[in-house]
Amino acid sequence: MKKTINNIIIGLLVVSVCLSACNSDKLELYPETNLTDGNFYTSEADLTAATNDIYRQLSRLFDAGGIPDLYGELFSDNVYIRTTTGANNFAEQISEHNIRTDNGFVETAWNTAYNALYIINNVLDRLNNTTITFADPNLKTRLEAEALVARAIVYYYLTQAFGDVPFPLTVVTPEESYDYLRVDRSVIYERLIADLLQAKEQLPGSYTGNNVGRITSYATAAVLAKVYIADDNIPAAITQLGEIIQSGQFSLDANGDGQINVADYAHLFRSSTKNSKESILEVQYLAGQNNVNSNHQTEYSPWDFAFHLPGIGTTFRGTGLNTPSADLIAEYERDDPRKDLSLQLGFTNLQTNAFVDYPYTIKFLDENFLYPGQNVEVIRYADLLLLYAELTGDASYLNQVRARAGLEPYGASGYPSSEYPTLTLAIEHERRIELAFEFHRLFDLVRTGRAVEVLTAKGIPTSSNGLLFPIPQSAIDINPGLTQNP
Amino acid sequence: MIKKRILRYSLVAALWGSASIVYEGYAQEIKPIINASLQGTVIDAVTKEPLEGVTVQLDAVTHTVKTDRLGSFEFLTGQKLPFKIRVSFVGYVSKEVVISLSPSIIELEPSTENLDEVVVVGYGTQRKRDLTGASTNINFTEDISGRPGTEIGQALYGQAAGVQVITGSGKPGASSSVQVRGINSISAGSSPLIVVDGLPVPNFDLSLINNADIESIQILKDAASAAIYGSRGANGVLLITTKTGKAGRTRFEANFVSGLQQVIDKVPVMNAAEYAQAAIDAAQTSWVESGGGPNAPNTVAARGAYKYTWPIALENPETLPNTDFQDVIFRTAPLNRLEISASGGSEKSTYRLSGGILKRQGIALYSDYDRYALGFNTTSNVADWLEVGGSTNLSYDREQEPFNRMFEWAVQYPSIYPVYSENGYLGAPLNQPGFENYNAILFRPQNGHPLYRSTDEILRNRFNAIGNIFGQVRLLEGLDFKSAFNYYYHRNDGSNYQARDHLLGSSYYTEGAMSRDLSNTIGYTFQNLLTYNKQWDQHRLEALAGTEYNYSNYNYSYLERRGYDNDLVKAVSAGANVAAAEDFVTRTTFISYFARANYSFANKYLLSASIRRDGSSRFAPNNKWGSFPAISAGWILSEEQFLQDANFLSNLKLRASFGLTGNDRFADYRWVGQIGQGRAALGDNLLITYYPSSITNPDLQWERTKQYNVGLDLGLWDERLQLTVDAYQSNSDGLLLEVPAPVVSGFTTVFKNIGEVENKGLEVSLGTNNIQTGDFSWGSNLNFSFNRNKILSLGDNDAPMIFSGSVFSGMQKINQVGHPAFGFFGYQYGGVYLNQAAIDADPAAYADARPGDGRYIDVDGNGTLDADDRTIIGNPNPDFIYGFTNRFKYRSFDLSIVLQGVKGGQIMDDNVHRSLLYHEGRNYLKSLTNRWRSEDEPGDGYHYKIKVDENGYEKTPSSYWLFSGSYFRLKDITLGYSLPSAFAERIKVSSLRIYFNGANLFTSKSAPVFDPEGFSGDADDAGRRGVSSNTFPSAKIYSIGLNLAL
Repeated sequence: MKKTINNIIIGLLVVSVCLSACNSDKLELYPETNLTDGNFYTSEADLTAATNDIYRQLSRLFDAGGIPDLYGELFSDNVYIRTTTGANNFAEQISEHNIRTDNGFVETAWNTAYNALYIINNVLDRLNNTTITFADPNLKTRLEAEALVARAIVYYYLTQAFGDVPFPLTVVTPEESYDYLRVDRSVIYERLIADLLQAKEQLPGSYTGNNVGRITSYATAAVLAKVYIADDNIPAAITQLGEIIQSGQFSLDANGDGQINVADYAHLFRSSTKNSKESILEVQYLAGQNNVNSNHQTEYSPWDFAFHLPGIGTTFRGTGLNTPSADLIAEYERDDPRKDLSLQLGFTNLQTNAFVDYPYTIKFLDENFLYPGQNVEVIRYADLLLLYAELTGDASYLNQVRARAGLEPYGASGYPSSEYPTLTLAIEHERRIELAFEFHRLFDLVRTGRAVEVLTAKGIPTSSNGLLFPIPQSAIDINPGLTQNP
Repeated sequence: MIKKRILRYSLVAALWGSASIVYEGYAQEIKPIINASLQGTVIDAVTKEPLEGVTVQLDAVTHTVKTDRLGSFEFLTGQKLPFKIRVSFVGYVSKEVVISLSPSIIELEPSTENLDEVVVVGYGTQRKRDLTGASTNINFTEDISGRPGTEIGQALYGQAAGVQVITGSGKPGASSSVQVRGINSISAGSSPLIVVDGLPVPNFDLSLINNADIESIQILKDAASAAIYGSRGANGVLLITTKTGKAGRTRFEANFVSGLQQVIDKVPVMNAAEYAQAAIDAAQTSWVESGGGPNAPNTVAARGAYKYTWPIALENPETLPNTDFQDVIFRTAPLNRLEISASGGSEKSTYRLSGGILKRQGIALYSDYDRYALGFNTTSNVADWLEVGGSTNLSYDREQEPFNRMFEWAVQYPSIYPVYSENGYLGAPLNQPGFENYNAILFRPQNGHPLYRSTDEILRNRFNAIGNIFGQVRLLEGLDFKSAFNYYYHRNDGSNYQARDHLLGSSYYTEGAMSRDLSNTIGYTFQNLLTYNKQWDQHRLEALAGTEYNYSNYNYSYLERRGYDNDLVKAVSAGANVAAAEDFVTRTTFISYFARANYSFANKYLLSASIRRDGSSRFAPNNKWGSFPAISAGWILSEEQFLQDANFLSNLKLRASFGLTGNDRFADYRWVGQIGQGRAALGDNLLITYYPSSITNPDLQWERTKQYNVGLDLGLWDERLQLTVDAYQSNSDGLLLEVPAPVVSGFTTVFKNIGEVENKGLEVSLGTNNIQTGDFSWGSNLNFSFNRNKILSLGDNDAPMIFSGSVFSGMQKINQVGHPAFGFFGYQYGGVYLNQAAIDADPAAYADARPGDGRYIDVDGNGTLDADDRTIIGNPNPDFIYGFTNRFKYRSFDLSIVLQGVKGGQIMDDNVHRSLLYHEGRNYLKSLTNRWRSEDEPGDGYHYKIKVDENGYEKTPSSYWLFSGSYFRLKDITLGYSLPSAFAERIKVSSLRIYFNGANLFTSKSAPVFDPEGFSGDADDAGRRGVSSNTFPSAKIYSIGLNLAL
């Protein structure tokens, strides 16, 4: 009897041990429907596809709700929030320069920017550390340079909106990330300038075929010029801008028909026209389902259920952000054709045929309003001409832009010099009109030091301290080493 | 004989592994059987009615028989009188009697709670008297299984201390979840492990099993009881036991319930006249505050914007329709349920067959639910040493659901509009003359009218199969080996057609979309258990050793097309463009070894210890395996000599336990750094890109909860009063936490094991047998429990985790060290500034505050209202929960009343929140008729004025949005009548009972919501508790039912 028990117990133990030994590897399971960092980054194609993601990051940055939009437009006198909607008032806080530190829009924009930096830094780390030999070594160099410029663009906007910011240049683990505190802007610019100078040498001046739209050496120079300005190195900025202008690669003849006229301006804001002669850096979207849709038209269209796009019989309600201010609409000169190409004053209620007075911008117009894909002009030739005029004091560059719109040149008798008596004010006016809704306005006013004066006069009381976004409360809560803006 | 034993052990060996081990055994001596018989009848000592199915066992012989319908039994035995027999029956006090004549009559005393009752524990059963942990048993007696609620959870309300039933939704196919002893986890799941007939089924949906098929539910509450389930036991364990056949003649049973359901309550909102006045106030107030003259004409020309004006019709509210949109969508809906079963068997084999049909309309339009269930189980003693058996339970259900925001809209759509306008389209500003320009100001039909999405079609079909086969071998006296293979298959397919036409005319057509989500889970568990039971002298030992291998495979796919020409064909194929074609597959494997020993000495001293070792594919390479030990002890003082004189004392037991359990309820592969797929464009060229979407964490493992429990069981006056008290403290560390991280790392949160949370609580359960006379009995059960939850640490820096966003309906929640998990976070509301003097007196008044605006408290007292003044303003967890059940019996009548409630805690309801302020013109809560209107009409001092231009604080989370979650409810009342058995006999039935039931008939609450229980989202997600937005409200149900046994 006892023997039997012993036998059984021994037998069972043997079997148990066997079971455990046989089965342990059954616990090793990995995802089957997506890639993991254990099986990716193993080929040239993988690294290229990973680098291509930087273009997705640029579109996230320039989406409505990204830093350029929030700071450049919503924070400026160009637009306001007409209809208060939704569960919070984050947009109103920004528009009215009354931002609380827990503003959700600012927090999201900050988080998006740093997530983009993480993805870009990961690309750079992977390219630096890979053992894969590229068939074309130039491709690897180019990919690295594209990533460097993308990173510089994100940091440029972060520093413009937030001032000194944490400055990771590699992938940082969550544990290490506590050590990344705010870095002085000048230190950041120094590094960005070095990166951009390197990338400018490594990138081509233009692309062909499916690569059109990638960052070129000229786009790099333009970003470099903006960083130089931010770093107060005006001569260096002038040099970069001069190079671009003198290259002859770009023209106000956006549609390339040999004539420079207002049709070129219209050409810029159509979904079907991408990467024109005037385009230096353009964030790329693609209309249609499952493509890369832009959110600007939806976000900026009237918050009204009867709203529909001109010529379209189906209504679509927008979010009601960035409604053009009366002050901006009034600033258009009487015969300026850019007004009708930039905004509409309202729409017709299809039910009643009554006109609804509710202005909105049409610079992001795409008739495929459910799946829009109009590119966003980040840096275009007119912007650089006006910037060059501003830095050099040479009004001819300003007048090139005015001539395209069919307007009298600055200095001529027909120019509204009573409103804009100095070249500085004339350029400020021209930039506001030419580049309205394109995320320039507040950057311009801050660069020229006129922001407090202009905004206060328009009934948006602010101060020089009020020109930076607060560091998001959540970021400080998580890492108390981060300081708040004054 | 030897051959037989070889066969037996071969089978064992084969089941343990694939190894074939042959044993040699010794032949056992068999005593000759001499034909002699013992006959008798077992009757109820109180009613004198015969008892069917009573187990009668001859002392020292394993052989048992069951009484038949007349209560009779017969033994064929070789022994001579007198015999000692053991008689036991569920619900009665078991007894041993010495029989000296045959036939004889044995009376059994009924017992509300029987100490010798055997209850289900993890991987086995145990005498209730031997339990040393904290657990609650709920037997599905007639009055519970006869309730009209369509799933088990409804039966658990108010029944068990420390167990909170959580019903998020009143959707007819929705099921409840339960929470045992508070929230142990913050980011991982918080619902208990469900074990159906021994098979652990994580994520099991309680609605998938027929109420009438359930024998009992045992809820394991303390860690010592649950530790045998190791890394899945930290949220408690629900052991569901289904009914099996009993030896004896075939028994047919039928249960039929037919009922009518109505919405439990409506949300009180303004009628047309009240709304019209509020709308005029809102426009006028903001117009004046924007600098306008109060007497300016009510025109856009004069006031510059439509929002400062109002349709003239509002000034004559008697001309407006006065529509109650809640009445539009709610209806009285039928519920019918029929369950039938046949069970029986011989001494060697038993079986049970069952089937059920449920047809239940929802209380709201477009809500319909059907369920069909079949069950079969059998066991057979193939030989005196071998028992085999198996079961299968199948269920299929289908549900039509309304669009999920219909309820929210029915509350919020202003009563000034008709259901349909005269032009045949939905009643809405754009279709009502004079209101056309108020389409964004006085609400709108798009995302507003409760019938706006009524042309959609939302369907779901589920099929569920669960079952097992097992074999049990008696190796030696007391030593059994059981091997079971359990399977689980779940299919869940949904479809959602989003119509083009929204009853608003062609300019409001949308593109139309159709999606299907198809998922199935297939899992199996292979379980091997070795049990050893031995009694010698005063010792009693129950030992268990086992292994378990569990595999689960989940497959999901999602298809969607968009672009429909019309709404005629609601199929994916009819759409123009493929919008999505996605799949997702996960596999989970789980290997466990476990052992347990229960020892008792002299029926006085109890000791139990268990250990489990789990390996899981979910855990990261550095921590694939973990061990979960537990130990518990009990001391039955009432058995001690020194208490033998205390006759009033029938039971006194002290218990103490300690155990370690884990929580693995998080998604598979979470430790693996994953690469997401993105899309980017260059010109007209689409690029597929890749980016890291999560970080590899090679250390990820289960959460660990260690819990201490001390308990007391007291029975007085022959168990007429039974008191159980348990106190516990648990600490969960290594929390699976989406811990906030500086976004410099690329992520705002990182999933890792960090942080610690504590739960402390007390549970009291008091059962009394108040009156027990010949004809009348009255028994009560009162239970009460509270749990205090506190976060002890949260990652690096203990940075608070603040949650906001649409899932919280604009509210914020916070996890902060030293406070309960998921508290509400925001400004403290301080009532209305009644006049300018009140504003001037408040140094922290915000810049644009005006009389009639809300005041928010400067909590830190620094003289300014800023983000630092946000504090914890509420706790979604109740202070305590209680249940009080009374059961009366008079002759053939029975009555049971279940009262249940929750005290304390706050809730946030988005319906209410959006109706507390001007929010795009939604209807307002009725209580806002008491708002501040002017210094002469200050209202109740709490509700601030309504205005179309808000200053921001209205839309900032504050305690103004919170309401008390307390309620007290008449959960269930049942009045039954059973045919006297003599009469039943005459019409050839065993028993017949008819009853009336009322569920949720009365609720006392202060929150102006459908049901304070409601919340949005998954009960498994602790963060969602207390927040609801568009919850399908629960129902009150009136029903009649019939229990019939043949």
